[in-house]
Amino acid sequence: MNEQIIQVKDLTFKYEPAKNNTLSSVSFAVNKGEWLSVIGNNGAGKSTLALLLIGLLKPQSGSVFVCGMPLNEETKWTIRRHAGIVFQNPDNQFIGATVQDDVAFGMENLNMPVEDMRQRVTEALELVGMLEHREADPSRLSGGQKQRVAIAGVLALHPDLLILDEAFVMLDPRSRRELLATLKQLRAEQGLTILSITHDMNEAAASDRILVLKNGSVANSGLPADIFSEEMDVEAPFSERLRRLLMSKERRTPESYLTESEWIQWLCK
Amino acid sequence: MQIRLNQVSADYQLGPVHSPRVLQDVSLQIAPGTFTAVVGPTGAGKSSLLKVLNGLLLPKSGWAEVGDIKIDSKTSKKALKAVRKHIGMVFQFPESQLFAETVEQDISFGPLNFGASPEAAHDLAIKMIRQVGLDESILQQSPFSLSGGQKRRVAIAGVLAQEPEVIALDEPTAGLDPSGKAELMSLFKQWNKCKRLTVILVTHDMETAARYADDAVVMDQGKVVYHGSVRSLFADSEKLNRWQLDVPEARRFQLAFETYSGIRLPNVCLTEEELAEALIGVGRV
Repeated sequence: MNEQIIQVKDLTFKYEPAKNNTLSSVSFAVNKGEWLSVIGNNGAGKSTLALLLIGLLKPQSGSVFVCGMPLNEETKWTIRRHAGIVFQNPDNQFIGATVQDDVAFGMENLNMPVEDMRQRVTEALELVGMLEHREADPSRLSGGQKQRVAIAGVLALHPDLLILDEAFVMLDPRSRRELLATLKQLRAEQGLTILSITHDMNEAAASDRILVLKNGSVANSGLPADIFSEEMDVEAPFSERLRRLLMSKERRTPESYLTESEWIQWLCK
Repeated sequence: MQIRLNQVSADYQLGPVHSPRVLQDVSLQIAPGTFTAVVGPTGAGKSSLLKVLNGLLLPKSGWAEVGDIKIDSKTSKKALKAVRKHIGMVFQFPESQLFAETVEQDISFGPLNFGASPEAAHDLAIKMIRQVGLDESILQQSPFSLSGGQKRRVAIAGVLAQEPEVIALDEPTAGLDPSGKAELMSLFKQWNKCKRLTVILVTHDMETAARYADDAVVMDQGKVVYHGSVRSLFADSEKLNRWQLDVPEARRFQLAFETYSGIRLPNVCLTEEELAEALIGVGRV
């Protein structure tokens, strides 16, 4: 059996006692080296889940295991050395006066020799294509550039698990694809596991597996092609939106989800 | 309300240090009642362009004109206040600008500040909260108890409550789910059509630009390199490539289909609806 890097069992959470559960009895596992997309509407509990995985929130019940360790007050610092998280709004996570200081910040807690730190900062900025801005003031960068610096800050820590909470929303589509390709490469070379919370269905379609959250519960989980064919109310990538549109017009369509090139071949049959 | 930029150059100054020119010799004219998408790679100067319109970044040389108010390097704060009354700005992640104790106070802040009576501000708040698709009961809640998507809508309601003639949006739907995004964009489109609100939308999402905007401004390294219709921009693959812009998905599908099949569809398709009609037209589905 594959090694599981995340195991979540019956996780239940609510923000205020009087309110409804934000997450109800959520269970799932992520294999090492897997790329899992978590999708669902705003308010489905996706970001709450991310905060629980990294120990920034405490569940009312249920358990989280990361890298084989149960997540609790004692282990959360160790776990955070293995798991990095990048949030949606990069303005909320800058500390350094320059880009390179900011990327180095996370490592300063790790008692690392300065030379190693310098090297890792350079590598991480290179990976996200921001090396030429290393001396810049992060607050003066564009939204997309800030997001890349925030990602570099986490990659410099060489995490085993990378959690992305809508971390690409400010990037233009091309930078987004480049960064995804970089992460894929890290996954192949270093076995990096990626859990990406996203509304980008093209990104989700390219991942290994999709987990659908609805109103705080896991509604489905499976291969992207299956999810898009089964979950008709989930927003889909373009090729599937075209299929659904033609179905509603009662036209001839492929029977299930096809990728774009499969679709074009089907059209020419 | 007419908007003009004439040879505007600008940079950011921090003490004695100047950033490289973020805007270089930008001349641009945006007609009243238009819906313009400003596109270009990250760091091209899109957000800075909006800041000039709102007087948050003064031109170092050249001038901008909003209606009959002129903005140049010497424009006074008082004149800028008048500009801000006409142009509503929705910044990136506008929910981080919420500050008041209740949603109503937050939405009314702008109108009260610009001289509306408390009754008028109250009525406006009710009207605006409905406009952005939220329930009236939310007005008495703290903005901080809301979800991310709701906060975004409250922040936008606050800007609309100033009843601006021009609304400048900087990535207004980043991080919203697809249905929330479609709802908000339709709202802006509706205001643009029915109230002749001028909309200037900064986005890197070509789908949004293709679906909602009529005109496009392309920025590259601080310069305006294209200003024309959205459709003719997306018809020109060579230009898109040069400026590192993505082709909208429907158009990309169309081009791949045309290359593979040797069949040419009659129109440039920018949305799945247009593509579906075109495929029906050539008898493929």
